[in-house]
Amino acid sequence: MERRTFLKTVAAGLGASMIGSETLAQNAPLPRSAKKVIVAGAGITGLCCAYELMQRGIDVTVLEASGRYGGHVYTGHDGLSDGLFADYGADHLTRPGYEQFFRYVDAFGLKVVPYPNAEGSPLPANGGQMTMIGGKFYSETMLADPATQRALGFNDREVAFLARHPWYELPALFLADHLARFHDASGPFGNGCDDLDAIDLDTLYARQGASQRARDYLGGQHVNALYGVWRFAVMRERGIPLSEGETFLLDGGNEEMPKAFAARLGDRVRLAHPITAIEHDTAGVTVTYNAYGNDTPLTMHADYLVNCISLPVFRRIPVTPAPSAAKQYVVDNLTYSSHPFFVFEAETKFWLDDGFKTLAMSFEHPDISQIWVVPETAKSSRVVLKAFGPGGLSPQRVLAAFREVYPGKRDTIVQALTWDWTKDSFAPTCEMDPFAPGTLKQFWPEIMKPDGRLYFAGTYADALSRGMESCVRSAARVAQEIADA
Amino acid sequence: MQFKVLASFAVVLASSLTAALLRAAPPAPGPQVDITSPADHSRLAWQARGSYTVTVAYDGKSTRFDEIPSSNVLLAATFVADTDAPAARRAAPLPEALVHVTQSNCMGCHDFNASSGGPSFAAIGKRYAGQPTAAATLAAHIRNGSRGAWGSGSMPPHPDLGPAQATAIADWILAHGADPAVRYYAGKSGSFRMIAPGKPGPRAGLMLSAYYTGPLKSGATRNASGRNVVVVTGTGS
Ligand code: HEC
Repeated sequence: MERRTFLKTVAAGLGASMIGSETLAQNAPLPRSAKKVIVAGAGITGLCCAYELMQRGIDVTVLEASGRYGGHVYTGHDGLSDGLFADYGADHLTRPGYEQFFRYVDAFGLKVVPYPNAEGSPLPANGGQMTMIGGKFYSETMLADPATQRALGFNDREVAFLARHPWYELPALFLADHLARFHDASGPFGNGCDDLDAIDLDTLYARQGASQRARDYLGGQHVNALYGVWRFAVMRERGIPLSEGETFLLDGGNEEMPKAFAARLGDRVRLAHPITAIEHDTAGVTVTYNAYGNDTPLTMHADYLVNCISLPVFRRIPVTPAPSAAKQYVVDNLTYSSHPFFVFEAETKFWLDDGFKTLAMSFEHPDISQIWVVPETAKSSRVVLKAFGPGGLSPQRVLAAFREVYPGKRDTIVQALTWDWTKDSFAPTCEMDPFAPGTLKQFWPEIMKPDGRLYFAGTYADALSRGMESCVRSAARVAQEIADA
Repeated sequence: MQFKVLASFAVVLASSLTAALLRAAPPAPGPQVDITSPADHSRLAWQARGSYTVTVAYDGKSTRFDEIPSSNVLLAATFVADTDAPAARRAAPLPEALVHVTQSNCMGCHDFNASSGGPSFAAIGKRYAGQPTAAATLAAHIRNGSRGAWGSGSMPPHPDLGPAQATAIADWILAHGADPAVRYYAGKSGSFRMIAPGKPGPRAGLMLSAYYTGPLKSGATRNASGRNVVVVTGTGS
């Protein structure tokens, strides 16, 4: 993407946020608007939205059901030595791609730490990653070899493409025509690709001549093809590469961001205040809730409510009158991913003894698909590793699987941990899953819209659902919409 | 109907045995299950959602203090044509399959009638309706995990469930997952929806029945005491 477009996008994003006015607000308080807003949920979206509302002089209260804020952004220390920690929810930030998030990083004086290979990210290139295919490990050099590529089943056109591009850019080979047609990435429809709503991305790759090997690598089964192409178009517009980009974490763990918001919001955040019912009409919103340790229901009235609770948990709260049928469809049918990280503490960088530059490997074992190293941020010679495996498995089972597939001699892992999100009643889900074929019309643009005085923010409520950035973008957007309303 | 005769004979035998045991030792009390809201005989518009709260006390433990986890509470909302009829208070016993479902981690990713981390049980029931081999496939997928059948997410294996338990769950999903007359809600509090399988008559409503689904002491039953059934009459249409 051209730099000019990139700057334009960034500038447009800035317009929606009031971070810069923090000092200004202290010197000359904004006139208190008469508006009062209740934010439901103190995850990163709710905290950010409340912060943006506060910056606009709006009276805001955050009601959080659980006894901690941060939701699915959670940095855990338990079980690890020397002050080491692991992020069990949101894993990393990317650059480019986290422009709004980085503005808060700067405004709050937080530090970021480079985090190469985060969640299996292919960067840095030639950093020593190993990929298992058909039971055999391949280095990046091997995977870049045309002979290897042919043997794996890539066709001539793909091999020619891979001579000039890394593997992760393969979507560009098959979707170039469609992306060229995508002139307005603010929504999926009306870009000459509407018929793609009916099929999945895998089918589209196949139509565009992808080999079975390329299709296996790219995935895309059950992913709405129009959604997929639109996503790539938004990424292009925002300057986000097909790799994850450069990856980072916050010094001290990603929960530093919710902490920074919460510190500024002070007693506007009420923990252990679960909402039990929401009533709304054209004049305002009345919320019934419980205060910590008290069974007597209390009520609070406001002009608006922003739901920042993930939809599967939100739907446990009765809303009267019931949301429109279109909104109810979104609430009942959005699918989320929910996966755990498995965290290992090792006494040494044992992979160095085995001649590996780093431990960034992907496996074909059903109990472990990926492992990578978390950068050292505590003063310790021990290291923290993170792995992907299916939810619900015990960390010991995942460690056993790692020991089965690790190609080195031995490891020095002394601890295996996880955080079981399926047991979290308030923040069990991570990001939204891609829409299924044939459903985009029902979701878009309804998913962005308020229902009367109920607004919706969260990772799903942005044109590009992509980690914490979509949380803070949707939060700032909704805060501005309410300020303008 | 020889089987039936034998079965009822077994019941008689069992109950006389129980009676003998009862004389010998004080009865092991079942769980105390109370629906604290909504109020019995309350009214709510069709299509609307109402909140519910359930408390359970069992074996010296209570949901109040999370000694009994919220996941061990299940609410069934059953359509009843006449909320004044005695039948509107006769709750069906808890299907054993749902004991396994709530004791395992299923509800962390699934909901009965809406998507969350995985497809709803209603959607699964609908997709495989009438397919003779579906029960075996689903039971295998529950035990061994599954990916690629629905979306980009994957379901972990469940070594905690035996083959019989997985089959019971699969059978239940296929037979009842998409039943329009009964909806289930997991957790000690939440919301239920006033939904009727067809056009409801003026006396129609929902019977809410609450269940304790956690582990039982040996020899004990799930027969609960307390206000574990309430009736809500639908209004409007
Ligand atoms: C960590 C999340 C998670 C947990 C826990 C979980 N599931 Fe699933 N389940 C899923 C996902 C995701 C799918 C879709 C998998 C696919 O596309 O193949 C699924 C699919 C299913 C299916 C349909 C399989 C098919 O072949 O169509 C059934 C039945 C099912 N789950 C039952 C259960 C039961 C019973 C439990 C508890 C014992 C459970 N699930 C626990 C996430 C989960």
